[in-house]
Amino acid sequence: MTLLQTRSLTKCFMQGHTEVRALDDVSLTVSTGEFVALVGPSGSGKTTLLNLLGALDVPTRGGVWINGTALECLTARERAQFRLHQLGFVFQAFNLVPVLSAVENVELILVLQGWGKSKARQQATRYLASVGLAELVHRRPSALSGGQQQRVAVARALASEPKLILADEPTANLDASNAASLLDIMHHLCRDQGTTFIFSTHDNRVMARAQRIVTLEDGRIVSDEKQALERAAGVISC
Amino acid sequence: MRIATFRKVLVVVLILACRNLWRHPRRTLITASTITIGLVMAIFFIGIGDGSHHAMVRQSIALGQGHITVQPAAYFSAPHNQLLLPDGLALKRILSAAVSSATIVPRIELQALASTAYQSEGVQVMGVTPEDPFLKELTRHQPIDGEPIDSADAQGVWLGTALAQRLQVTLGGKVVMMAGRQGDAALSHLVRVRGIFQAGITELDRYMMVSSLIATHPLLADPAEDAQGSATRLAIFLPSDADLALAQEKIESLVTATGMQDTDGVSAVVMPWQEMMPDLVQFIAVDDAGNYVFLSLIMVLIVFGVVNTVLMSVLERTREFGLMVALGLSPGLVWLLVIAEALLLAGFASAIGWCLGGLVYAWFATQGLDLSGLIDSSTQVMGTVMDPIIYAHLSWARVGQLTAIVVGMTLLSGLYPAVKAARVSPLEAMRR
Repeated sequence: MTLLQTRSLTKCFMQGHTEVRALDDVSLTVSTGEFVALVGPSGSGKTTLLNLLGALDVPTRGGVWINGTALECLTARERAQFRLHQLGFVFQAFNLVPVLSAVENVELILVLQGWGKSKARQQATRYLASVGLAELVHRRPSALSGGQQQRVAVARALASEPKLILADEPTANLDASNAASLLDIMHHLCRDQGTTFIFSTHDNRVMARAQRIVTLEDGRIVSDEKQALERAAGVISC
Repeated sequence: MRIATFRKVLVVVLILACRNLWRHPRRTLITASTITIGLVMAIFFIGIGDGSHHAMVRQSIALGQGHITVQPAAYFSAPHNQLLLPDGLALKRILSAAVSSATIVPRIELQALASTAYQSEGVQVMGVTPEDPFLKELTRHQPIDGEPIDSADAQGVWLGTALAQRLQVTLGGKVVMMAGRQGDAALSHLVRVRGIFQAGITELDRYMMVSSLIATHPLLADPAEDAQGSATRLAIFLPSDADLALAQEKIESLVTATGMQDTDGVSAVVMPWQEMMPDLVQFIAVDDAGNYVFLSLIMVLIVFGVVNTVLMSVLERTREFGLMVALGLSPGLVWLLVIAEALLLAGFASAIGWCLGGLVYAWFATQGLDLSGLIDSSTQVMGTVMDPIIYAHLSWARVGQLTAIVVGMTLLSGLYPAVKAARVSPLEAMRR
């Protein structure tokens, strides 16, 4: 079932008087439950594509449809609401609100969505436990390692059970062991809950664990390869 | 957003705002101190200013015509001896029964010529009853030299020291009073000096002659019995300034109901002290304006302190705001978060400010500010004696006003940083 679709997605920036085409005519379709890696060299357009998919930016041309909603038709306020209710985000760094504890960071989105306090706390604790942080729920981000912080961000992205989670180089600031552990968690959640993940990465080891690899170069999709989720998962256990 | 959800979100916003303030406790405390010091200074200076105004008003009401005056309509602009309320004492009884909490006293005021064997002086004669608060205020600084006023004394007068000296008369001395009548011969009355007072106010000490009501009757009518029951005006003293509007309304309706008319056949008027003493009201307004200028300077200090702190805190957290917006927080909520921080800061500082300012106020309200080095006990302002010890006074309305100004200014100071935070582009912010 198609969850996301882009058609002729183009994004241009002005650098001085020169127009730079960060994305050029990108058409992509992602189905529910896919585990997609966006790969490519720096400046290939991975982050720009993620920003457009995440309703953080508006395309110069073309459009994005997620779950039947055309993002370019939404106002800034509606886009914020869309991000809140439909998407989960994991950023490369600085993922958490520093004055909130791990569980409060996860709860934040749930409360904004209108969840009751106790129900939100229960859900947040459950997802923190699922990413292996049951003992650290009351720690502030400053008392967590980089890997633990990323896991809190994943728990936050998952807790509201969105259909789509976008992650921008989620393992970039993590050591190999933490990166593997985080990918394990994302993989399991993708398989068990049918959550769709789209993440950008440079890391070959991470690419090897993706179900589908979309390669971008100069703002264009140059290849789109699929491998069985089981096979990708098999790499994890190796 | 539904109300229940908004309430939950508001709690989160407040928690975030609280924690953000305590992220840099030293900075927060320094900014709060700026607001606190500003508020304490405002409480002190406005308190002293209001205290001196309050003392002036209190004295003017007592020495003047009370909180409310009932008098002939034309008396305020063109007073003359024969302009009276012929049934003034009857009206006094009606009003006293209806407004039992008020002290209502009749007065007869005359312009007269006082003559002794040595000198003649134009004087203001005021016929009063012994319970008139005017007498208490007249002798507040110095007790009367001689006998107290007796309502049955038809031939006694009390006069100021300066007038006694000019008339060259002492206690027990004789004075002939003469008062003119329109189109008729002048009336005269022989009186004796029963007492000499020193109010410390030039106008009273040099020109005022006080007597019982009946001692003025021979100067009003011939024979004097015709003046029985008359009064130039009724002075009404209320237990609290706050009762003024209500009491005025009640008295106006009663006066209208009685159909009370003056000797010219015109209905009597009811005037509050503000209308009776427009000069004093204007003086206070001008003096208040000076206080407000000072208050504005304090507020500017507060605004700069708060803008600096909140703006710095917003600029430091651009990435954080970007993250929040990216996660789905609306710009409105980000704005609310910064405003909540400014409000909490204002609330915290105001609470401390009122605690400290309250102590300062309590001290100066009870002990007073002794300015005897600058002003002596005979300094007069707007026809009142300036007390060298000024007692701070703040009404609840003023407390509310000061708090609202401080909170309002702090809120205003938070507006620009809040708008800046709300306009953060998540993409730009996250790139930093």
